[in-house]
Amino acid sequence: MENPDDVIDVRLDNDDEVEDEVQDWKILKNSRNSEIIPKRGEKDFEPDGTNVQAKLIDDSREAMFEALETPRGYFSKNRLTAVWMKDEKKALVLHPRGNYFKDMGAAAKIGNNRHGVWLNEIETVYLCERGSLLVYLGNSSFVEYLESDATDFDYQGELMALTLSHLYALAFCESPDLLDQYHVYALLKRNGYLIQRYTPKEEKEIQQSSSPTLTHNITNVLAKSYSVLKQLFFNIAPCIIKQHLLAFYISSRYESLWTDFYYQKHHILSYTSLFRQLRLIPSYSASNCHLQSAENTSPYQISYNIWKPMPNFSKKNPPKPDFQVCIVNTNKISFPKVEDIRCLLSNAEISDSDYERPGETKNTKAKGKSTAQTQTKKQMREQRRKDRFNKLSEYSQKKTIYLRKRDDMLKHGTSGKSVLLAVLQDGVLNFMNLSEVDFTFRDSSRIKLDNILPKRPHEIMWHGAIES
Amino acid sequence: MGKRNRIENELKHKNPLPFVISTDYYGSLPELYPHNPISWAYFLYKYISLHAKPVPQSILPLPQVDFKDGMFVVEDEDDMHRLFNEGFFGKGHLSRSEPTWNSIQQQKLLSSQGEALMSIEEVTRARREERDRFKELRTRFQALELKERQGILTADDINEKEALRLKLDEFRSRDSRIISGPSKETELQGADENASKALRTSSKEYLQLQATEVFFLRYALHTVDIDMTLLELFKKCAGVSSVASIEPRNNFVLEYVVYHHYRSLGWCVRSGIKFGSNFLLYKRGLPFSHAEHAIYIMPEEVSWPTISALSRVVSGVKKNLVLVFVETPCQEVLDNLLHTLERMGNDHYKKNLSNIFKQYRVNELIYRRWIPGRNRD
Repeated sequence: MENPDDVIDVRLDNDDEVEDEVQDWKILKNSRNSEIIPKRGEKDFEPDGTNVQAKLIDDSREAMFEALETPRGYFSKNRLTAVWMKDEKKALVLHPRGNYFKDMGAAAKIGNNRHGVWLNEIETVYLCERGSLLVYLGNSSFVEYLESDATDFDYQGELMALTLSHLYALAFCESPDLLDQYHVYALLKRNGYLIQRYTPKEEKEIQQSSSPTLTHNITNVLAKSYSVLKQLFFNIAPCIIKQHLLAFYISSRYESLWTDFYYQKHHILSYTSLFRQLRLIPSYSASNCHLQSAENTSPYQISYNIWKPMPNFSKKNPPKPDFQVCIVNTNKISFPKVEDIRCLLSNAEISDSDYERPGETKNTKAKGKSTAQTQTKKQMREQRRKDRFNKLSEYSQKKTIYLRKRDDMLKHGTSGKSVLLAVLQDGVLNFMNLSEVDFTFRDSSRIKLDNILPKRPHEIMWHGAIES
Repeated sequence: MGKRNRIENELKHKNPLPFVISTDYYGSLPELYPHNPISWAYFLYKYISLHAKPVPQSILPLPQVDFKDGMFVVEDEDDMHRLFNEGFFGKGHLSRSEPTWNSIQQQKLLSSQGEALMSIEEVTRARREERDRFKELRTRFQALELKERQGILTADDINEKEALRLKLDEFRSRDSRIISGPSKETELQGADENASKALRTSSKEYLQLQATEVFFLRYALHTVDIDMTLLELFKKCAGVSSVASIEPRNNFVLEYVVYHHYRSLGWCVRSGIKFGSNFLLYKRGLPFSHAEHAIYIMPEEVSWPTISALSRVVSGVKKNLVLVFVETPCQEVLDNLLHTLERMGNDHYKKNLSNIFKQYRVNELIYRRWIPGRNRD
């Protein structure tokens, strides 16, 4: 019943309304109805005297009740138990099973060869609230058991099971920020994302260099000084020279360029050169700003790395995150200042995946399904567009790709750096995406465009030439 | 937009700025073939001879801007169209944006004499009427369909339904474009000379320019004339009586800096007040495509509701919200520069103003709502 193409259509058209869509529980039943709600443009929302619509709603409601009636629970074989350790402020899972530990928990090794998984406060509460984890409160007998060689432990008899509210109190008593973090974590997790706490880059490096021997140190120092020297010779020096030369050139031109009757005295041969001469206002963005703040004391910090659901996720060697999120509570802080944003973005990973137009990628996927059906108007339009594109000369094709790429970059960020702001207000959660953009196309964004069509004035949107 | 309209618009809005470049005025320079020395010599000859000729911007009359009743206006009909057509500056005060009031009146006059073709507005109206007729038929058709579902369709109804179906199909396949009248120039030639002259003199419409627009045209391009010095214009735009009272975050200066930034990048920049922002950026201009970006100059403090509301409004009209943070010089630096501006004479106004604007820096940021359920795959 649902046309895949229409779904995309909505997706492209309006980000705002679809989230309020009512779920159709009939998908669960996989039933096929003979009656179909009329397609767009020919809908009747008022009661039309027949019971077609009422029947459809009834069926859907029925399907919902059926789905909700199935008994929920888990097999005792799959029961997951954790023990809350007060001192560590974490929960220990001795027998991890199930699918939850793909991105959650950290390996634990306790006593004599006893392995398990540490869950932090947020992960513990999440799994418990979800009904996937039984949490007991640890005590001295459990600690003794951990240090002993005994194989079995009677959780039920020796420990007290924690209620959810008790666990909330234990886990979030330290700081109110934890509750904010939990809200964000739980929402994203329920949406299927893989999430890990963000660790700043420096810390990661320290963690990796685990065995600091003397030789190791020396090579380290050498490598570092080499890289510094390399940086000096190959990056900074040419940069400085270039800047000075440029500055000299600009200042000598500037004197004459910005006199009042310049354009009454000088011939201008093209609008491109006119626009170039008009450039006056310096612009910066996080990655090409040379005045990085030395101290990173901004209250806005990245909290989590987020990945879209993927089958082969490794906790130890995670790939580049798809998103990074910074949590802000509107009751505590205001909208970030430019310095804060610069700092946030400078810590953000560069996503190298190109932005794909949802329409195009989806269509190829949906094609298999919809070949039997008659083509929708949208598909036909898409097809016509493709045909037209294939007929173009090679240069025109390139140019089409180039212009589209340039537009996309201005819409989704030129450098690929972006941070999500999770904005919390008394439990209401909203996500905002902040992406770095540079309308003058410098550095990496210039290279990206040069790769398609080199040496064009990328930053000048329209310079007046009618091109055939 | 039909193809015909597009070509018309391409020609009408050929120039991105109301500025005559020398190659357009004197003819473009010859093609240069690297392996052919004669083409080099010919190119050089042409190049030098071009530079010996007077600069077109100095010999052509510049549009005249007046400051009247607290606003900047252009009253001359040709100047008005020139400023609007070449770079989309200003707004006709009796029209939606392009100053079309005069030509519409002319049209009315002509059609009262029964010799006019339809104007764009009339074409739109005719198209809408036709659309309404189509919808009427469709409603009737749907009512019959409903009857069919209810099983109370009579033989007459079946006939009517079939007839309606044919009619609707015909409507759908019909080329709905209605040919508009020829462009204004040809109309003018065809029209009675006297009638058009009478209209010309009685033209009531003027073009109103924003402060940023006037300042850009006069200060950056020097392609309009206005009856005051640059310094006076600067003070008028900034809303101050003495330069010394300008603060680093003076509203006009901030807006101008951002306006100049995007104009110098070849964007068509228009007011964004309709969507709660400062500016709208059009790729080529109003008739070619919808505005793509909405520019919001970040104030020092911005509340969460403000930014949220803005983002909703802007995404509702399918535009990209760009937050622009303007870093300003400190008061001391600015005061020094303003002092120099006042002290040095008329000849140095432009350079000293540029020195001030150069102290401002622009940081751009894209702001967009993100929905967890829609970014997963």
